[in-house]
Amino acid sequence: MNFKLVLLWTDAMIFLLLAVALAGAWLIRQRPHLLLPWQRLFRSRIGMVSLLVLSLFIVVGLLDSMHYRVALPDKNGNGQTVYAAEVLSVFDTLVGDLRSQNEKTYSAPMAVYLYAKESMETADGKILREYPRLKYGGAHLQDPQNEHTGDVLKRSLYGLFAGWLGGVLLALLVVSVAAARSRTTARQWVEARQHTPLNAVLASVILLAMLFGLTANLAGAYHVLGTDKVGQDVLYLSLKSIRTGLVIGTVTTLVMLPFALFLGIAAGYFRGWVDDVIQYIYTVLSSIPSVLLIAAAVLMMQVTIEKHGEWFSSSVERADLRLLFLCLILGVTSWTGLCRLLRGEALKLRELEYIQAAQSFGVSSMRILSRHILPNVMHIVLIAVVMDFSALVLAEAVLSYVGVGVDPSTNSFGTLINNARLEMGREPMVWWTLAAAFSFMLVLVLAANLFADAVRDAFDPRLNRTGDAK
Amino acid sequence: MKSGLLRINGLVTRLHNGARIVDDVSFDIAPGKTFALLGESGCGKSMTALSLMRLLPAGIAIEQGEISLNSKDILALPEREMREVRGGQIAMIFQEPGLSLNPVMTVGEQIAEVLALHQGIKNSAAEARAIGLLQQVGIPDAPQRLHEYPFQLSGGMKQRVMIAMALAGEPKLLIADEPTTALDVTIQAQVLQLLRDTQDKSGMAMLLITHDLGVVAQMAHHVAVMYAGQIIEQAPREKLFAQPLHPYTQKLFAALPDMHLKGQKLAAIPGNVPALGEAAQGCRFAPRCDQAWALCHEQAPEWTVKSDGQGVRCHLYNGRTETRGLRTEGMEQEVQNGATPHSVPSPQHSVLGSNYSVLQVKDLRVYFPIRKGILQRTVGHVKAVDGVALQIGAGRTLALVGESGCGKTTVGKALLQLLKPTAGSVNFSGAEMTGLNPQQLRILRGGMQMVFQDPYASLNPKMRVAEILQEGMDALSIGLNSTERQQRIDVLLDQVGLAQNAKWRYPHEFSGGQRQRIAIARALAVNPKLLICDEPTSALDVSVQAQILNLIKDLQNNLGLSYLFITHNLAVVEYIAHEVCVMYLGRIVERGLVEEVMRNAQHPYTRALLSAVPRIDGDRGEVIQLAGEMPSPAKPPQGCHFHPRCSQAMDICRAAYPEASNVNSTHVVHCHLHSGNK
Repeated sequence: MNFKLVLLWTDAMIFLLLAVALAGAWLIRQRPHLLLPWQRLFRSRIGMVSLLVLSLFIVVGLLDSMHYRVALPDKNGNGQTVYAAEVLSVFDTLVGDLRSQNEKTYSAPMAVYLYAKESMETADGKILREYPRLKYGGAHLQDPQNEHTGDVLKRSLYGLFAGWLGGVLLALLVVSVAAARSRTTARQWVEARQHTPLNAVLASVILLAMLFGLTANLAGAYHVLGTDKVGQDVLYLSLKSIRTGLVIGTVTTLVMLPFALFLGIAAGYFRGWVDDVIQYIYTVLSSIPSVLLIAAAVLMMQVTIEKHGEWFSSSVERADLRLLFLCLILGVTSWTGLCRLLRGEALKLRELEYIQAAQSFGVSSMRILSRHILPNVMHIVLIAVVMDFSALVLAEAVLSYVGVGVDPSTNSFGTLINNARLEMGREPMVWWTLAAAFSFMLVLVLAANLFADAVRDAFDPRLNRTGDAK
Repeated sequence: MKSGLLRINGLVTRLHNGARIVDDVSFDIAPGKTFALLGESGCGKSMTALSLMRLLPAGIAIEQGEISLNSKDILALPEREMREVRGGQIAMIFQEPGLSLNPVMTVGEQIAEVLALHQGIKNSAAEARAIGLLQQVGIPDAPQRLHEYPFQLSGGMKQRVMIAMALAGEPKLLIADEPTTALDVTIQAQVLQLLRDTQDKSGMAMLLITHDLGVVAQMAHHVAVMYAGQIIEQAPREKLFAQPLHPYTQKLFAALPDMHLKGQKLAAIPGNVPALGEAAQGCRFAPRCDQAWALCHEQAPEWTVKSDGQGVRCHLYNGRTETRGLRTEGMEQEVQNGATPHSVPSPQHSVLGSNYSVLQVKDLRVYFPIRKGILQRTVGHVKAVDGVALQIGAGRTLALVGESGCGKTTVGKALLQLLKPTAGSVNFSGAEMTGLNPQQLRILRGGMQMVFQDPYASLNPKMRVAEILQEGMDALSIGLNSTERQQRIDVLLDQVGLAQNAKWRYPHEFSGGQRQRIAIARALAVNPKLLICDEPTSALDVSVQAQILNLIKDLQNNLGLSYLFITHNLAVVEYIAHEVCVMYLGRIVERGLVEEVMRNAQHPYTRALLSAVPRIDGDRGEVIQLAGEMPSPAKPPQGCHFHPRCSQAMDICRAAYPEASNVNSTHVVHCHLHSGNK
């Protein structure tokens, strides 16, 4: 199949971040003192399991960030290949029909019938008001009334079993490959890691594989989490929302870090007028209600984007630019907290004797900042970044709910909730969109928070000496 | 045995991982007596006290042993009744008075709380009793102080309030955990006197925890020496000081710097204090003991009680007490004569006022502005350093002595231009250092370096030793290329007595003493002529302090370094310095050769300072008690700064600051008592 790669702005940012993270990991591996807290983190059970869950989300997000446009079968008049206007991602291809199998409107999770009655004409010409069958959900059933429960059970069990098998095979594969690389038998390799969370990780791999098997097998025949107002599969929408959440959580950090880092430690180290200026800036910035500031900036940007439709070759690009700007705005408004924290820490560090020793050698200020202060605040930065991540994912949901967040065409938890809120008052209630967004976001944020906790513990200098505590 | 108020028998306290941090500790305290637990940091003395109170931190538990107070088993009491015991029968005061009082409650409220709990006294009766208690601990204007908050009190005052709170419950036993470590000597003398007086009046027993032999000599009736969780020697004070039995105790005495050891090496104990709960086979002191033999490394010594009641845990005294005893007495003689293995010739005593002076400071002033109001206008100055003049000859050591807050550290930082002096001149080997821009200053930087007080804060934890040592060389372009610098690092490590493999390790892998060695090597890396040592041993244990003092002396002999030695420890001054300057409130009040100042002090402040230092001979002598505390340098008293605390103050002292008077050509004092001999 012919296709053209599309690199959206946020994609570039995400891959840049990925590269930075990989380079950082490589750098840390070279330095034993940097590696130490990470090794502590790798010994934490909660940390590793939450990292596993988190990395599943990240994989989905990364797959969803590789965009392309398919070539159309017909060439245009000049013989050039024409590409479809629709921008797809690798993730879209992998989930296959989930994307395209749209029903007419709402249907409950695992349903075979639509959620609303419709008038239908029977074979003998009578008009009936009935719940119509779904186009795709459970379409293979001949007699849904009797077969439905049995079929769901059968598919669930089959999915669970296949998932279990896959999980066990994967675990065995990982263990045997790792054992082969360290030239021991698999048994020895596992036994040598009795005090590591290896068992917990392997158990969660199997559990997640079972969950995956269950969902995948059911999703082939049903809408596992139902469909929304226009009949789109909610599971698909939720999965697509993950990327938006991740982009907001990470790219915003990328934007805010330079401000917070440099301004924070410069204010704390230099004191005097530098400190005054920086303090005034962030005090003013943080006293403006941030929702207002964000709303104003987003609306201005929206007007600009609409005026210049010619800038974009597809609607996806337009939505993407809006997402990027949202990240920028969130970044510009959210650096103050970390900056204040770092200023305080730098104030403390500058009085330490090793800084004064460096000053008495005549070491330049920039070098003191980069060699003495920056490495000694990095643990705070790391903890703050991991903790901010979940806050930003939640902030996006709130902003999109208020209507100043991402483009309505972008899938995000916020837009999902916004669309679902009106239907909460309906009788019978349409609960699944909200429930799906809620549970996905809960799992993502919970995993991020637990991971942040584990990171904080691992980097806490006061806990360093009690390595045998638990 | 005698009727003990408190009996501890075979107390074992363990960490959750099984390490014994208090190991088989037994002692008795008689009513009205003071029992001292003496030991270096991490030997388990505070944990013993917390075990008594049953206030051990989480993860540490009493495993076995008996603790009985008035024949009542404390360990068997339910928590409800234990609360009655704490404060009611056993009270405790802590090291840091600033952290032991609740900052949001007035002094009166905090005392009233204890009174209500343990005495059932409330309201106006409690207030009256609290005033009585504050007067008892010597706080002036007690009724007024009652309504003040801790931040309004000075350190010595806070410790007095802590003692008043402890006394409020009328305890039978007072546990004092390093009660004066955070205080200045003159304040320490006041607090120790207060503790003795209170004990005389109330007849309570006292458990004194300290690392300071001088304090023990002044206070204790009975002493137990702790090492690595065990009591290794226990005796009445007179006996212990007359004849210490255990090699560790002997070494502790020998490691104390003193005047008559000048020019000799201190008998430092090699190695470091073992970490808390470090498991050991055999005697725990064996690795550092120069009298250890094979048995010491294999078998832990039993507790041996000599016929005169002096107990010791050492193989030297096991069974064949007499022969072994003779041998130690011989050892002791050696130690007292100071004939330690390595005796070094005293440094080349250059003539005083050697014609070549490395550093010449004239009229140095450092003022910090006090700003007030919206416009931050300067309304006054804190005169931290107010007209200091110094001169240090090549290869000489000048000690700058004073209590905390007198401005001695500020002098050190101003000399290095880490703080900008307000006025004055700093002439360093012929070059003026004040008023230079950073580039011009950098050229001079290498000549003068600083060794800081806290070895835990003076090394960047994220840099390896080699990087730490190289930083100064990089900044000042010493050494042509990196191989040359690496070679120099090897030499430096060797000079300060560290192994070559220390190069690629991080500071946290070293003990306090070793870190201080690294800090000294860092300063030496740029070939300084003058080292400013800011209390370099005050954060170290006595046995390690001796190692560092020896190193500092050796370096002076080998490299001809000059030192400005900033300290509050007069014993160290006597041992290491050639000349002394005594500082009070930003000004030097007396200067002279060390013998002159230490033996023949002229200024009333110097005399008070010297008399306040607890001596290990237990000779309380005539301690000149100084009234009150050092005033704030923002509002120095009119006339002589010292007159409000001086017992010999005259009218003229209140009117004018005394000019310099020469006692002789080298001895100068600022005091109206001596203004005759100008």
